[in-house]
Amino acid sequence: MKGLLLKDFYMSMRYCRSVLIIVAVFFLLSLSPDGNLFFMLYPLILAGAIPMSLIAYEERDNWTTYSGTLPYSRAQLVCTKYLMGLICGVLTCCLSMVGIALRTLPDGQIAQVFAQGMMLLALSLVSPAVTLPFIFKWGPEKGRILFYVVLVGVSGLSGAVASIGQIPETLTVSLAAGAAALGVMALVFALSYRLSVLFYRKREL
Amino acid sequence: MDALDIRNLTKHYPGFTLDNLNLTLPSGCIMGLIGENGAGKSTTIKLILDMIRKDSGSIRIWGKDNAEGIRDIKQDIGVVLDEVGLPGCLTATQVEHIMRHTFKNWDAPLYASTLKQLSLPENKPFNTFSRGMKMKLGVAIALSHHPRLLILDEATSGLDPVVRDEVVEMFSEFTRDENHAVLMSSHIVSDLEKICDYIAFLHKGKLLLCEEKDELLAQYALLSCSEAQLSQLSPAAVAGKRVTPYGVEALVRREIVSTGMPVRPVSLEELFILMVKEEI
Repeated sequence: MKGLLLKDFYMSMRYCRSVLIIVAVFFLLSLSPDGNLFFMLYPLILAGAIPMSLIAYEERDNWTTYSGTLPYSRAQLVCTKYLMGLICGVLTCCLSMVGIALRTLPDGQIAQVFAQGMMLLALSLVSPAVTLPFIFKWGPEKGRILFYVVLVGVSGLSGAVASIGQIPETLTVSLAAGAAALGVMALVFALSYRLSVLFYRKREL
Repeated sequence: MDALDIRNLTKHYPGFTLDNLNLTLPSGCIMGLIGENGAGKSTTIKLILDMIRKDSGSIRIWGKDNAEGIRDIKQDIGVVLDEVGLPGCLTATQVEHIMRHTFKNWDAPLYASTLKQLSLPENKPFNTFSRGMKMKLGVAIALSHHPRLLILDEATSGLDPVVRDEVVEMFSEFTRDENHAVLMSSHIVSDLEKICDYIAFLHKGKLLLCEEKDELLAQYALLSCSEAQLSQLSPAAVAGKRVTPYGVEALVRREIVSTGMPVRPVSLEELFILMVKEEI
């Protein structure tokens, strides 16, 4: 599976450069005095979409069929995309945590940084967990539509929050709430993976 | 041991059925799979590689059922499909890094020398390659992990005649080791005629025949005659015919036609066309 991860890494470096740039820019913006929660959430959503983008490129290049000739199981092919989603989520989340720490420490508490970090990581996994089973069942085109639904949902939620008041500058969550959110999301992520494997095993390449 | 043994393989799609296919590819041999577009060649290859699900039948590769442990079996199979499905951004060097972690028997020096032999650049992205270069890279990958079985689906299409000859020679060289075997589908029947030991004709999902090439070419002949002359032959002697304004060209079984008839040797291409097309 190391070969598959390496391939995804090469592809991400080539095809997802714009995402990396946006993540970096938003990280810097989140540090500014005007920075708010949006600057932390948006890169997470984008990073969560990287596995979906990779699958779309793979379909275009006929890798999906070619991968069926290689000594990988369907579960391994699916697992790689979930690992990519997790890696992208963790890296973006770590960056966000650095931003939170720079903004809130030394006045804030380190526990709060970790609590927010866990909440953000849980949020970063929403997009791959929701979209990947659909993509493995129906392909990247329909999955993309679902991603936009998720994106509109998150934007709508942000809009609703903004209409009530100002977008909060940061999340305020307890360590227990952060851990609970991450635990629930880990479960959803695992179920999503199982579902994707089930779908992909039935798919004809 | 047979490299490949297919028994009663059936796969049904709306409008197409691969019907009760039986094939045996002995070790040390090259089998050519010939058929028109949509005859079932790619379906057969995908079924062998367990990329699609069979409806019934069995496929054994080196004695192992492909439904069990296909991952291990694929370690010993080199595949080139009609579209080499590598991501366009990858270079041949990056492909090497990926395949090194994919195949247990990956041979980096062999890959490097094959790239050199086929004049392939190491650091250019795959999407800048011509179709021929893409196929050559596919061939280089397929050969660089010491497979025992090569499965080639239109692997020589898109190659210029000189490179095609070189690649076909590489496949031929591959089967010098009698533990190796090649299953090769191609529209370029002359390539198959050049190197194949066995020929399988697929037509509309059915196997018309599967025989040793030399025996097949010895069995059949072409007879150019008039329609009246042809009607005097036993129907069993005629396997196919083509009527033109100048007469009839018939594919006949040598052992049934009388020795005095003006027959000439038949090529694989003519044999296949006349078998699947009664009349043009």
